[in-house]
Amino acid sequence: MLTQGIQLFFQELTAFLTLRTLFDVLWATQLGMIVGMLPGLTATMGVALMTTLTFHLPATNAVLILMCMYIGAIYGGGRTAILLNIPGTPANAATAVDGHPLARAGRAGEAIGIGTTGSFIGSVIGMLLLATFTPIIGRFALRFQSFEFFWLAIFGVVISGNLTAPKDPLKGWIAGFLGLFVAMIGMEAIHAHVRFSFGYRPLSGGIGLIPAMVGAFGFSEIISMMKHIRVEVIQTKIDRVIPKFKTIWGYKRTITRSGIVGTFVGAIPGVGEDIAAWVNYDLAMRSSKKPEEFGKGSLEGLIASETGNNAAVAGAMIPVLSLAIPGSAPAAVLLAAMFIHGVRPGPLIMVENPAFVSSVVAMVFLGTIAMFVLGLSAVKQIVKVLLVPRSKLMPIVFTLCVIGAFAINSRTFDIGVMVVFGLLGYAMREMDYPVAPMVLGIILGEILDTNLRRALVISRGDLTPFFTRPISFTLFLIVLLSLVSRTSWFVAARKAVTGAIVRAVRGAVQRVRS
Amino acid sequence: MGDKLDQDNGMPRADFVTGLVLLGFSTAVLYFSIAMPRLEHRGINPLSAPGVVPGLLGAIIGVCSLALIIRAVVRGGYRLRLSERSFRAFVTSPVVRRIVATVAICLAYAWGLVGRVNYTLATFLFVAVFVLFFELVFDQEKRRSPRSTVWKAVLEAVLVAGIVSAVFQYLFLVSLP
Repeated sequence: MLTQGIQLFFQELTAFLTLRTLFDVLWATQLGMIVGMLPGLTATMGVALMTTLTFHLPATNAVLILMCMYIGAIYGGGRTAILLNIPGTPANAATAVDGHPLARAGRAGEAIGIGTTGSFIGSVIGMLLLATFTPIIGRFALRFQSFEFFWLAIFGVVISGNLTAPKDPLKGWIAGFLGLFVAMIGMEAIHAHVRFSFGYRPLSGGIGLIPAMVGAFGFSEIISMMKHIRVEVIQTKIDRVIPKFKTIWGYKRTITRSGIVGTFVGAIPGVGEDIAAWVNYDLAMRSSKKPEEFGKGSLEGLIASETGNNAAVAGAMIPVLSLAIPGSAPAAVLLAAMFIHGVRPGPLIMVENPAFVSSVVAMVFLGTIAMFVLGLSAVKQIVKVLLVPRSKLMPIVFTLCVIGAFAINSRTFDIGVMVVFGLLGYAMREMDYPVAPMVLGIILGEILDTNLRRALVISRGDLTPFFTRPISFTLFLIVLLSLVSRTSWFVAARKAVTGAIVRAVRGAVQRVRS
Repeated sequence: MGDKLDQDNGMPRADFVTGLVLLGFSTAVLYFSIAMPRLEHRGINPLSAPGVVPGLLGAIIGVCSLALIIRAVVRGGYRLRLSERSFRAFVTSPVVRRIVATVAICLAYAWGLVGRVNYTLATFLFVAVFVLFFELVFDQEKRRSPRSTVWKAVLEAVLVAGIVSAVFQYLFLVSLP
């Protein structure tokens, strides 16, 4: 099995080694880095806009370009975080905490070099885990029936809501269920009945994911960027960029841990690179010998967050390929792009199209190499992109949002969808509702709808199989625990129980001693 | 962490209002789901009726919005404290003015111009107006010379409108709106 996998990987990689493909890899990664660097242009927005620009290309080329753009953007955001203390994408917020103090101390080049190497190794670890776990999860998911897919859809929005709105998970859940509702609009898949169109014909085709995402991540970002006067670029000296091997080797444990944890956090449905970076930053601080340096320019903190966020990119592709459920918001766009190009990921992909999984692994590999090479070269020149004022940049972005939303189906209705979701996305941000669970909900809506109804028909309305089938029951328990664990009474009860156990153990120990 | 969360009151007044809006929305979803045809005449199983899942989602959103409202009420969010003064301060704040300007210019382009006027001309007008409005009206302190600002904005608008139209029309073969 392993040899077959490695063979397929090299086969796919060799197929990519043409001048045209390598050129695509380079420009897409570089463009991704620039998109990631510019505050206000996020990875999701870049990948969504790029989907509209590449839909005329063959499937493999289009997905390759999107994958490279995704990898480049998550990496590129770290540059702005280090130099300006503004994360280029939300995934780089943890990078700014230690990256910027390093830049202020005149060590910007070193910070960029360390960040680049961390991103590279993180991406490689993610790629290896992607290659290993996708077939395993895919084969396991072949056992799933409608009952399990129902719980999987609910689990997706609940866990995504929990983790993207850590302060207020209720808002995350509301966003997720709203997304599931959005997917109910239009013609349903079982009886072809048109729902919630109120006689308005364009709505009968449903809400397109790409226009909705271009709006929710593009237009809403434009509004939030334009509400403040632009921040001036701080001129920082950039010295030696290529890091010393000894420095990197010194952090080998942090890098390995961040790569593995980052990949698994990325693989959780709807939980993206930003959470992966924070989780790794926190883990690095807890296990560090010098925790006092964190926040003041710790190389360990910087490398943990940058390794973690890039590992999450490959991680987010694991559920995309094996379950057709996105691990992050940009991965949701990639999933939609695959559907547009006629590739149907999911449990059956290992049966129907096993070469595609190896192909995606090869794409991640090429994007990672391009990111590493481009990341360590032309650093000073690329940073000048940050000098473009937002009043000049944002109208270009909006122009692309409009034409991009229109281009896929040539419907002016989709421009309207983009605008409405842009306004909705902005209102949600202002009210502290995360947008990622909503996007995940739009994707999971059809899975939930068809599988719940199918399951009810199979069981003749009996709800017990939802709780008695082993995988169903496990998923139900996880959903229940995710919901209950965030309630204040559960936290209080947990503290009380833990306190009681500690007291009982102490008492027993004292009794034994006396 | 729990203690810290309890201390954080969040935004009870905004939550109270959004909770009410969401409750209204979920009630409407529930109503339309129940009223949705069950397609009995086609002999389909009522358990697979089209309204089952939207109805369930409407109910869940309703429960969540009720939780939001109750939490907001407990935190005093029902006291909206609306006054003419606070409304005036809100409307005249520079941030709100910038948001309104951005949304208005973008909507005028996306809903007003695109599809009605030639796409290239519409894009040219949008980019020029957007840049000029923000650079001449809002960010005056950074303005070097109004004349060069105008020329640069017009040049950017010509380039963006020309390149985007050409690329989508001739390279991607999209019939422009």
